[in-house]
Amino acid sequence: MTAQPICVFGNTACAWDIAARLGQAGLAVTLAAPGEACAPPAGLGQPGAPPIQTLPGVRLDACRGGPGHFDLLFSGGNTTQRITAAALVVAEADERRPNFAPYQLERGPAVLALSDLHQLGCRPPASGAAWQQVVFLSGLATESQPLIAGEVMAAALALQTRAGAQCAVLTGNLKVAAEGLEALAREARAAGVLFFKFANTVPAFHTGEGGRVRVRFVDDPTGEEFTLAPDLVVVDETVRPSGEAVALGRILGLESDPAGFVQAENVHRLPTSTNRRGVVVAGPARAFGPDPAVEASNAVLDVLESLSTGAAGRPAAEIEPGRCIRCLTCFRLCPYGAVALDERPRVVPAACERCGICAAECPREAIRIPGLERRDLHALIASGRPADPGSVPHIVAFACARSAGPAARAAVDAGRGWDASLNLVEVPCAGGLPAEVILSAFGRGADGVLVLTCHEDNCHSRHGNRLAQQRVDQAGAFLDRAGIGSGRLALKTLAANMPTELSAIVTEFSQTLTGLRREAKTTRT
Amino acid sequence: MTEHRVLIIGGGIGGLTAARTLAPFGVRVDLIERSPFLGGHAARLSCKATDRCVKCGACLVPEALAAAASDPRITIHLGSRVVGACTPSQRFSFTIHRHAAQAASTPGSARTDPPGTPVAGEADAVVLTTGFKVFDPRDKAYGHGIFPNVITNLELEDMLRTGGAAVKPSDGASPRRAAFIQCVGSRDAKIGHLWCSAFCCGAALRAARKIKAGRPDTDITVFYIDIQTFGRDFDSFHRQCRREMRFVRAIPGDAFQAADGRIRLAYIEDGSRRSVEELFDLVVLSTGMQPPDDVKATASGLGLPLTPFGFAASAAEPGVFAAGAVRGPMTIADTIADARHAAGRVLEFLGRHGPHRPAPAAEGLLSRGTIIPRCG
Repeated sequence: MTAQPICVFGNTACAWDIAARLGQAGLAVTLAAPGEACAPPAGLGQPGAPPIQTLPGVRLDACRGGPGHFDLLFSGGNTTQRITAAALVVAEADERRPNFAPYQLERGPAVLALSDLHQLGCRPPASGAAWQQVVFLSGLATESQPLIAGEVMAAALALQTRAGAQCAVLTGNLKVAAEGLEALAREARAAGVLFFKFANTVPAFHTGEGGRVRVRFVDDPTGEEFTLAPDLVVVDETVRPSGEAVALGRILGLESDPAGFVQAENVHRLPTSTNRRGVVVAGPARAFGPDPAVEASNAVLDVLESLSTGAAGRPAAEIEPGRCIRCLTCFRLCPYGAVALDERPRVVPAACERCGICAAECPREAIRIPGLERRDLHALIASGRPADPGSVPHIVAFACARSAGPAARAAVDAGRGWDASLNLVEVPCAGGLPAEVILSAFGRGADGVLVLTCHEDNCHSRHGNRLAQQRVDQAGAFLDRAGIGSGRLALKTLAANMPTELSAIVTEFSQTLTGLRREAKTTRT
Repeated sequence: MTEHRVLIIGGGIGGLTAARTLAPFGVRVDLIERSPFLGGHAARLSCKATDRCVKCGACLVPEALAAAASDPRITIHLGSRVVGACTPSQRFSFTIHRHAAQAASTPGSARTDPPGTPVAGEADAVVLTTGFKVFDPRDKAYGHGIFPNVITNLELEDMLRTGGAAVKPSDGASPRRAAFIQCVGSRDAKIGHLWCSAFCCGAALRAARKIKAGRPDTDITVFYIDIQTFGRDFDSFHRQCRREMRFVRAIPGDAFQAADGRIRLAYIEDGSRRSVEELFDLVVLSTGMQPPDDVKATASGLGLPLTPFGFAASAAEPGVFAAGAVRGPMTIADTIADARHAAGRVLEFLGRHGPHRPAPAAEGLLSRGTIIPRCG
């Protein structure tokens, strides 16, 4: 179906697994990584497996195009290379940062990071003395994660049982929300590992001669003071995406989360999709400690799905060349990276999600989305106008198709009602509604207008809900100036599973409108 | 290409996700659900957004449900179960027994055979997604089922979903003081539950913040062993919770009802080691997950081994897979990822793991302006 390869970024086990599975699915695969040593881990790449082309020692400098046809520009050494790819998979590495600084400790023979201990094979170096007493620090500076807590407990158990050490784990909240960890904690405790948990106080560390650390603390449950003088302190680690992953995300225009992982914390991106169609992110740079096999399956499915749905279906936004003044508003605001810059901005049809943000924000009204043009919306607004203006208010509600739309259908299915005539105009994203369209409802029979959009951080189009709020504020100011009153316009946020709240919102708004009508009558008489 | 059929047992978020993932690859799916409704426990969860989304994933259920229900390649059997062994030979032969009358609101392609009619079918692969059983809190001395103001986390979800607020069941009033007790039926060696249920810390703290957002004067106490990390910005969410609520690192041993209907909890205070008693208007028990009662029978019928704790292994016999909380405690997000993982493995097993031609996409996201008449 596609002759162009899939480009997988990264030299991680996850990247190789994804590349191999894509190869088995009959797709050509190119694996690109910045390191020169770019080889599959043991077990992969055996004879008979489809070949995976590698691009070692390269970095991505630029990416253009969209699903089905990305143009990638790489540099490496003194050369540049250009390839095209049908889809992209970011499967780069994470990196571990030891938490020495928060405890005011420094790495030395008596203070190691968790990874240092792993490299030593969980035993003292041949040249050093035995470890009689070992203290592990876990999740005291910042909250830990199950993966790290599991490694801490496994290491403590190993030293306790195999090296004859007395181990103590000093922890904040012990993170056991992963398979087998509660049982591991019990096993470690049964083997003699001591656990001290801290909620109200923190241990104090004093580094003495020879780098040995004294640990003083008050035990929360008993209130007793303890001083430990361990031979070794093992410091836990914080996991972050690698610099390479962050750089790739930036070049590809991908969203990131507060810790810098290359995927927004937005439920619409679950599990491995991004804000760009045809760009998939999987493995340790996507999120903290995901299951590699689950990541690989999901990434492969996402690629296959993007290849089959690419440009199919609905028409994309179009920029009218005669009207465009190249202000690049569309380029800046498109949440999906669907606007490319040639001599002038151009929409990459396969990447467009039809949110309408570009069209609503274009100062020249140079962008149209077939089926979502102003006249289409005007027609929909008018189509719901009641033939006979009844005693109840007529409300036009613009509803996001991912939240309020399904919530309204669920409300009707559940037999929930409201004392109003409601015309629900479902749009892909309320961020695509120009203020003019919102206001036009008042000229088409609406007593009030609701804009029902998604919660902050739950917008498929990233900030469409915020843009909708801005337009509602603009429109409200106009209504005040026009003497209609901004009380006839409201924005509310909802999720698809909130039919109860939706009917409450409509009912309450209807009551507000009835009140306004009564007020107006009183003023007139 | 030959037509492949897949049997999916369990219509919660895991089964729905597996079904809607497989169908576009040209696979015909029989989705069996024991209850009269799709969506499982995930459909019971409320949206706990306050000023912003808290990323629980509960809002993804309606979309998964609509996608599965509108796909003609997916046949949904509600109120049904697989009877007898599902024998893996060349294909899997199975019999479905419908035991419940048709639900009031059924998706488009749901089977409408009368109850009692056995339906025979065959499948090339089977996915077990029967989820979990909620721990029964009557096994603990908290008086659930006896004291009206002791409720479970799922009962709180029902309140928040249908009424948007937490109330005391005894009189419908808002609680002034509410307590959450974590790890009820989880991390409990006495009953052999040596696992963390993984979703309850997030669910409890999000629900607590939702309650505080609605009624800021509610005092909330969280009794816990260890607060588990959830979400990607856990540190700041957790700090916010610590500012708004009281955290007590102790699990109360039992609960009594005072004369005025309030609930008295006794616990051992840190530091002093004294037993302290406090009164609460509402007590929420964070009941954990355990394997479904019938998992042993279902899994052994499929040749699927169990883990040491009685959950299902992820795969065993060729063509048999398990996904979601039947494999162990999982959140909605983890279940969706795991179900897609299982679907991917099914496709690899069937040799359908290539680019596919999808059914033509439905025309236009923009629906016609739907006029919903006055019905209030």
